Parts: sequence; C-alpha cells; structure tokens
Amino acid sequence: MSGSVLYVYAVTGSFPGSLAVAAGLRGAPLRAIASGPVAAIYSEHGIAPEPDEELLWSHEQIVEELMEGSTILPMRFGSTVESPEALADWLKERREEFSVSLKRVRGAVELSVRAQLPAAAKVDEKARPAWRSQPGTAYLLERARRQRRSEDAAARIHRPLAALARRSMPKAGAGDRGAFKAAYLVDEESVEAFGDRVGELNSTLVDTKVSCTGPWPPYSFVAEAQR
Amino acid sequence: MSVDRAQAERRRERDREAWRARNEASRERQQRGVSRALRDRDVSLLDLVDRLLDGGVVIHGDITLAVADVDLVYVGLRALISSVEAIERETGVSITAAGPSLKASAL
Repeated sequence: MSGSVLYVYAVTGSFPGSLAVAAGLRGAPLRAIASGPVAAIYSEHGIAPEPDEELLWSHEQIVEELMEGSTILPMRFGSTVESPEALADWLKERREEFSVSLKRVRGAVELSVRAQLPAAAKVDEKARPAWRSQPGTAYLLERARRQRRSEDAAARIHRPLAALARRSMPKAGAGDRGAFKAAYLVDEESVEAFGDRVGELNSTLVDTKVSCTGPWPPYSFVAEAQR
Repeated sequence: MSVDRAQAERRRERDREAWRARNEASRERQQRGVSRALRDRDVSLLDLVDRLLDGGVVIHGDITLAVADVDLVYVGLRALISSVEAIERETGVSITAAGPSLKASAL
C-alpha cells in the first residue's frame, strides 16, 4: 500500500449506480468507502496525477457522472489521502456534517452567473457646487457613487435570480471591480426557468452581459457557511 | 461442437451489443458536457477553475499527502492560469482579484 495515493472525488449518501461503469482519473477504477450513511468515492494511483487543464475537465466529468442519479458533495480538485483507513477515519469524523450538507443539496444543482457591470457615467464637473469639487471630497463622492451604482446593478441581476434559487452565494471581491459573480443552488426542475430569466435580464439590462454556466455539481454549497 | 460455436458467437454478439450501448451512453454524456461547455467555453473554463480550486469539500489535517500540497497543484496549473488570464483580458471579466483560487497568479 505504501507509495500509493487515494484520489477522492466526492462524498455521497448512496452508492451511485454509475460507479461500476464510470472510471476515475487516468482510467483507474472507482471505489467507494462507507461510514454509516455516507460514502466517499475515490480511485487509487501509484502517484498523484499531474494537474493540468485536461485533468481538471476529466475530474469534472467524473464528478458529473457521479452526480447522475445520486446526491453528492464534490471534493476540491486535488484532494488525496494516503490510505483507505485515513479516508474512513476522516469520513467518520465528519459524517454528521456531510449528512446535513447532502440533505441541503439534494435535488438541486449549482448555476454560475457572471456579469460585467456597466461603468458609471461621468459626472458633469461644471454642474457641481464648488464645495463638492474639492479634490478630496470629489474623490470620495465619486467613489461612493460608483459603489452605489455597482451595488444597484448587482442587485438588479441578483434579486430576480435569487428568487428562483434555493440558496445563493455571492463570490467574494466580485462587486469591487465592476464585476458580478455569484453561485445559485437551483432545484433541478427550475434550471430551465433560471436560464430563461438570465435571457430576460440580458434583453432588459442595457450594457450588461449576463452569462450563466451549469449545471455544476454543488461546489459552492458543500458547507453551511462560507468556508 | 457447432453448438458450442454458435453459443460462443451469440455471447460475443451480446458482449458487442453491451459494449456498443455503453459507448453510446458515454458518448452522449460527453456530448452533453461538450455542448454545454461550448455554450460559452471561455467562461466555462473560468467557472471550472473557480469551482474545482476554490470550492468543494476540503480534507483538513495531516492525512493530506505532501504530493497533493496545494502549492504543488498550483505550480502544475501555472500554464492553465496564464491561459485563464488571457481569457480574462479578452472577455474583460476579472477573476484574478477575486478568489484565493487564483493566488497562483502571483507565481
């Protein structure tokens, strides 16, 4: 067993039927180890696979196959343990937490939304009262105005989408640079409606291109609070 | 003898059938994945990187092997990250400022 690596893909509440058919990274067979109501899906490798873009897509495809017909919590890319015993211990230690999380994401998928918010229009300098044109004041006012504009624009995208989602997760730092980025946990039945609403946003919001990708495994919703 | 051969032939035919069905299913899955990615391939890559390197369940503690050390993973992904940065320039969507997933841009 020494010198081998277990590459972990997901934690699941049931043994996915696809386990027998699907193969892991580099074609390695998928295996499962259970602890009470939860199980971890992994494959065994002589050495940890060298990460590259190809491997990211392979990892994603495997996780998506596991997601078909079962509820899963995807692992972060590159999660490895040294032995089945270590994996079993880890699983046992956190199985309560995983049971709760699995319940939370059951029947739902993650959708990702990005948008570049329109740049705020320049204020007409001459129209400003003199006190507002002091360099420091003007700077702060301008900053506050941009901030407001950006928050408004983000809310116009977020609110109608959040209404269709079970949960949502704003992505840190995204609003700051005029970019909107958020993840939504959406019931499988609502995915189409969500896509339609993104389309509506694109046709009603001028200067804003909203793009949506998915369905993804619930990467952003594996824990109750933000990491 | 010929009965055996006929049986073997039937078995082979069945195996081929099963193999074709499996292949078909896997191709279909792949096509679904690909067509979805193609909808917006560049943005999909950004989202993929965001999710796989910054989302998901994390294994804490010393059971994580040194070979899976996050820094090493990032080093291996350096080429990918620079292509992501190129995409970022083209699409104008900023991601390097956001997640710790892209700390690698400081490499």
